[in-house]
Amino acid sequence: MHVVKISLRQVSILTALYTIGSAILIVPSGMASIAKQDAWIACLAGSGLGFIILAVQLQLFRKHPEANLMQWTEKLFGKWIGKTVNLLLLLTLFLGGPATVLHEIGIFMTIQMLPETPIQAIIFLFGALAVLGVRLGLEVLARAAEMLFPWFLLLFLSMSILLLSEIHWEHATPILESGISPIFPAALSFVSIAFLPHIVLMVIFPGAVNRSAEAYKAVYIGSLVGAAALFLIIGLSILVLGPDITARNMYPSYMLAKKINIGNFLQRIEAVMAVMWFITLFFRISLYFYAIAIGISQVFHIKNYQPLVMPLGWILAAVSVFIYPNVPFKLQWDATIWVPYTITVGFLFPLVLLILHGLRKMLPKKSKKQSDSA
Amino acid sequence: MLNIAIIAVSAAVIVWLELPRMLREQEYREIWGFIAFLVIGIGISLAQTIFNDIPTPVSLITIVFKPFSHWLSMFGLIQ
Repeated sequence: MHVVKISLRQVSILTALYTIGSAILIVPSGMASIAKQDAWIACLAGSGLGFIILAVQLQLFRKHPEANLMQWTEKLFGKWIGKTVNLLLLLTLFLGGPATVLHEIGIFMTIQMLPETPIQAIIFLFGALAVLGVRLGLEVLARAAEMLFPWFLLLFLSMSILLLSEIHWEHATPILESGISPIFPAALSFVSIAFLPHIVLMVIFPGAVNRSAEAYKAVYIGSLVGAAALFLIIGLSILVLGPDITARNMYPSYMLAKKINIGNFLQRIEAVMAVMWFITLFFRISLYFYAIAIGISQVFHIKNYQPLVMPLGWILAAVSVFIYPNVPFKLQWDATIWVPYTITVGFLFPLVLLILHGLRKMLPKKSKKQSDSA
Repeated sequence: MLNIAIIAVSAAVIVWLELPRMLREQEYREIWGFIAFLVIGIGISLAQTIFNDIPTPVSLITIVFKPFSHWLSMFGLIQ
């Protein structure tokens, strides 16, 4: 398998697009339903918490910039337990990550834009796109990200600027109406979607960056850009739509794009703005899927992951059709099960790895003595 | 019946796209992995066409993480 090398700039851009990912569609509604008009405060708190979590995850990266998560587990847990842990991690990530995001875009399209199209058609088409991207490899994905990121920024900033005239500052008042207690669950729901899944990047980036010692900085910068974009979109949802409408809508950011109205002339450009979500969702699905493909190829010692991509993509498309039986199930699952799952995988798991690594470092001589005496 | 035919045709297309290159380069591990995952994928698709209603696989994650979820909601961290 030829060596993949991407630059630091590409790492930042991929991280930013991955952070924004599906969060731009689903985060404002969930946060506004918990924290009402203080969702923007919760977003700031969540970003702070997110960077702490990111520091833990990136500590793995900084200790051994060339070893990815799969190799860490195999080294620390031993071969068989490590492989079992890796397989469980990959299986659950597969179900919770790309399959649900692919379903998400299916629901989004069938609810908002193409109500008479069956969801399978959208899922298969978008899944085929992700398979194509992942099969071509990380370098191609990174270059595509570099090419599409300016378009994303253009759409995002133009949407923000065009919405300035619709802002009602009174929507954000009263600040902290019900105290700070609803801030914590809202921040947690933000972190669970925007920051905790960054553990996936620890499978992709180690060993794939040309200046690996500095790659963690690039991940920080990308996450910062992503968090800023999410903060803007949450703030705009609250200020333009108001907390009630934001909480009641499934996709408030799409509703925001519908609100653009400049002199009764420039209006209803939400279909153009939807390109923005296609870009971010594509990179979210592709990075998840790429991580799973290379993870599986490492667990089974397959040198070339590319032949696995098409069968895995088939499984992905087939599973994501029935991953959520209905929309209430999805909302319930995202709010109650996805949060503890990502806390376990994205925070506790790297923490356990780090502790084990520290213990190993502390006791190298003792174990050698024991083995000598035995 | 049409669905099963479509599944068979797409499986054949995927095999035709991938297998010759792997055979030429004698990547036998890759071939085993490819066939295993393709069989799983075909199995899921067939199950979907034959039984209309399959339970969602995320319920497995739900069973494992339910206690943790309850514990978090006791602290008011999940609403």
